[in-house]
Amino acid sequence: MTRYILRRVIQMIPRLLIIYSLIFVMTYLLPGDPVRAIYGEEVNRMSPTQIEQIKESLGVNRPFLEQYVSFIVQTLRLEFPESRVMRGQDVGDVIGYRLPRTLQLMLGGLLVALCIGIPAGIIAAIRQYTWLDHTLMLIALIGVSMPVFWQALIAQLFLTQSKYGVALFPPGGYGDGNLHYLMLPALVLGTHLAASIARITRSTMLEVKTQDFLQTARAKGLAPARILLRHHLSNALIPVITILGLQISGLLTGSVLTESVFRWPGLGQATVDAINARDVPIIMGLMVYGTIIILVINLITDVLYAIVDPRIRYS
Amino acid sequence: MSRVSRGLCLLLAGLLALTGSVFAQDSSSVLRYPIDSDPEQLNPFVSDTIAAGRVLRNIYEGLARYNAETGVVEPAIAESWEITTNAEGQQVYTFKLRQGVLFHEVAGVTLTDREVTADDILWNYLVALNGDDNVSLLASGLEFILGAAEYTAMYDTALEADPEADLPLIMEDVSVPGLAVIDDYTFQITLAQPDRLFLINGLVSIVSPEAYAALGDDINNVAVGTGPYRFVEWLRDDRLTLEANPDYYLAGLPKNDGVVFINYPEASTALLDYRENNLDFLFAFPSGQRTAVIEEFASDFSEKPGLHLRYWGINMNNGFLAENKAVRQALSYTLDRQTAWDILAEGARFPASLGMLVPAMPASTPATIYTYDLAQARAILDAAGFTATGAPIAEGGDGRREGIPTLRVYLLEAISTEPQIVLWQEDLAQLGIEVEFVIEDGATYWDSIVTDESMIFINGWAAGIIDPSDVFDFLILDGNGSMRYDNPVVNELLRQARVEADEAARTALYQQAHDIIMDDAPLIASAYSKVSWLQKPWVQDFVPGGGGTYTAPLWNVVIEGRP
Repeated sequence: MTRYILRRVIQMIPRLLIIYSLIFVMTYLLPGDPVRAIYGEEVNRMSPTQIEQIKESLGVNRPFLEQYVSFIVQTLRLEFPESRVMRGQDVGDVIGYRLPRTLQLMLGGLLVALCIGIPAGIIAAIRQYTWLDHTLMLIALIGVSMPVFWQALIAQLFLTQSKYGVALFPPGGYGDGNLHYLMLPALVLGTHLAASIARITRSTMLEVKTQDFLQTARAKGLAPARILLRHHLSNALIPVITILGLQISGLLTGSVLTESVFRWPGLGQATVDAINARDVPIIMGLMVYGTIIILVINLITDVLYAIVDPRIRYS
Repeated sequence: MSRVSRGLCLLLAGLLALTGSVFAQDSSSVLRYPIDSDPEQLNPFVSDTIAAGRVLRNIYEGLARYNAETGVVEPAIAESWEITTNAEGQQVYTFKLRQGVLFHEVAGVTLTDREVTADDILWNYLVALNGDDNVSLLASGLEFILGAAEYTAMYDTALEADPEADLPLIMEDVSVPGLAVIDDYTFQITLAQPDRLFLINGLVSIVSPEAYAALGDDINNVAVGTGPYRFVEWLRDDRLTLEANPDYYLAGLPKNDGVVFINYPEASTALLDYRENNLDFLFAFPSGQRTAVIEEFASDFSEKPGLHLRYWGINMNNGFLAENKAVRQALSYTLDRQTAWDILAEGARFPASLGMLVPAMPASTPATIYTYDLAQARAILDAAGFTATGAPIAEGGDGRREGIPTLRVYLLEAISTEPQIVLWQEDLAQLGIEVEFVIEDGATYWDSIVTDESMIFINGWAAGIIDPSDVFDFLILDGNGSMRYDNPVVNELLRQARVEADEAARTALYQQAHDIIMDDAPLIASAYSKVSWLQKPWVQDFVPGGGGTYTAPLWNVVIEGRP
């Protein structure tokens, strides 16, 4: 297993380089003048010399190759390039401040998703074709179909406003890490994922339901709860983990909208701001480190397969 | 339900219960102030956006301060000043500094009762004149100070020779003739040429030199000034906290305990917090909800005329419209401003009933005023030889005006849903003119509208002071604006007005310029802004100027009886 993990980590390097180059080229090709992107028509108040100086200090006057090599060298040295817009802030500052907040939101969403999705899937499978099954799957269908930002707006209206519902949660904000502020955004982010998990859990539970080893377990006289948890559910979890691995990346990108609506100071909001301002160093930094996070999540997913299913062995 | 899942659910429920009441009530009088974007940084030498300005104006002060409500320049660090003319005929401003003005004491910077002296003022002006863009963006705006341009040029020359050159923050051995320390509390500025707006545009924010040195790069994240509030904490994209400066030289100010600027990228979230009494103000209304919000909070609502202009710019550099004044004038008569702004946009702005200056400014009524009049527009086009063939396009005919190409109109994405756009398109179709819209975001838009592809573009101009120069100098003079309208006669009038000391004569010059501009019709004035906001009943003395709600002096605001 250790050799497998090492091999996967080494394989990440060429992948990262390719992704890095692609992102750099795409960012470089983005149309628009960074000075005007930052200052808009305020540029009219500046002299041509001043505009040229700003371009010089932004580094946008340098040739493509020079910029590319400079970025590569900085990344390899683990140096963080400075933001072009937020003076005194480099990629390390941006990520260091926002990543923990985004991870909090992701983990909160994941917790909600697992808490709702797996039990709902199990209940629907056990009560197949009953009203309960149909109701749960209908809710799951709605959950999958409804855009996250729409869910967010509806949740805000009914769960934060005494005028329209119950003011259970604050409408937005980070609240110095107070869990109370995390709950609503996590609920919104998580319910979307919970719907997918519920559907896949139900479907795999039904597939496993007819397997011989379950008949054997019942014949041995094991308690129904033990059969359900130890034999039935654990064998149905592999596809759920696959879906989770894929969806966690979705949580990272989906948090952009959630962060904006709930004014959560995370990476999503920073990415949008950086793209709007053509702040290339920050865009590159966020993309590269975002890619690393996704690659690591994929690796963890693969490792989890082996833990959940003893039949899987990596050499 | 599995035990694990049940456990997780119980944990979640427990956390909810543990967190207690939804909001802790705030018994202090700290203002809770929503902002739509974070400042980029807090260094006043390089911060020139509104987002930074609305925070920094509470922390930093210059020698004097412009009152956006009255248009009057008031004393700040300087308690008085005298304007004289020297033997060379140059304007000399002699500032008498207040005694006992102290720099803020902020965590991370050790300053004990550090008083501001004339040497600090000189240091700040020299840093502002530093030609390195990484140090200051203010140099080009201070070129009218005697010797300032030469001082800045030394940096420019050195940086051109070696962009990586390690230049000193200020050149100690070089003096700027226009800046002089007379004594500890007297500072003198001499202008190379008279500038009647010097007290508005020429005063830099005064930063503590010791804090600047001690903080290094962190001067972008921490602010150490002399103003009514001092910096406490900044959590980017979340909130920025200021507290009342206990050592402020004006007794009794600020009248509140501090300000928390809370970042709301979405106006709808700010509305929810306002409704739940978590905010004291609301400045941005969610799109399409203006009327509903005003109805819901009728007693909290206030509104006053603003200084901003929304306009359609016309490419005057070259192309069909640049060459056809009659068509430009006809287009101006085709915009139904009343319907667009009073009805369709729910009164978000005042329809532009005069010219390109808001009514509060001198010379705001030009000789030519374009009101909605399709018949007049038709007559102008007919007279210019652009005749229609058949029924109008809007009625399904092919009534296009011979010789007028399809107009390529650029729209900024953020304002591309304004109702005036479709309304104008329909009226132009009635006239036999087709338009083609191109929508772009802010990163490319400002580049695109100054290309020859663009024939018309939507735009706005945010004047900061009640003076025509703040509009004309940036949109008209020497083809500065994106229209690239460059009329030598107008340019000369505007230059004369800049240095004319007599108010009546200056207004007359601006009036002449305005008359010529509106007759030439390089732009179509669409609307004048309204400064609109909600404030809770417990907020008193919040008085913004026409430049926007951010111009209100927050130090005068009183919070009384907040639940």
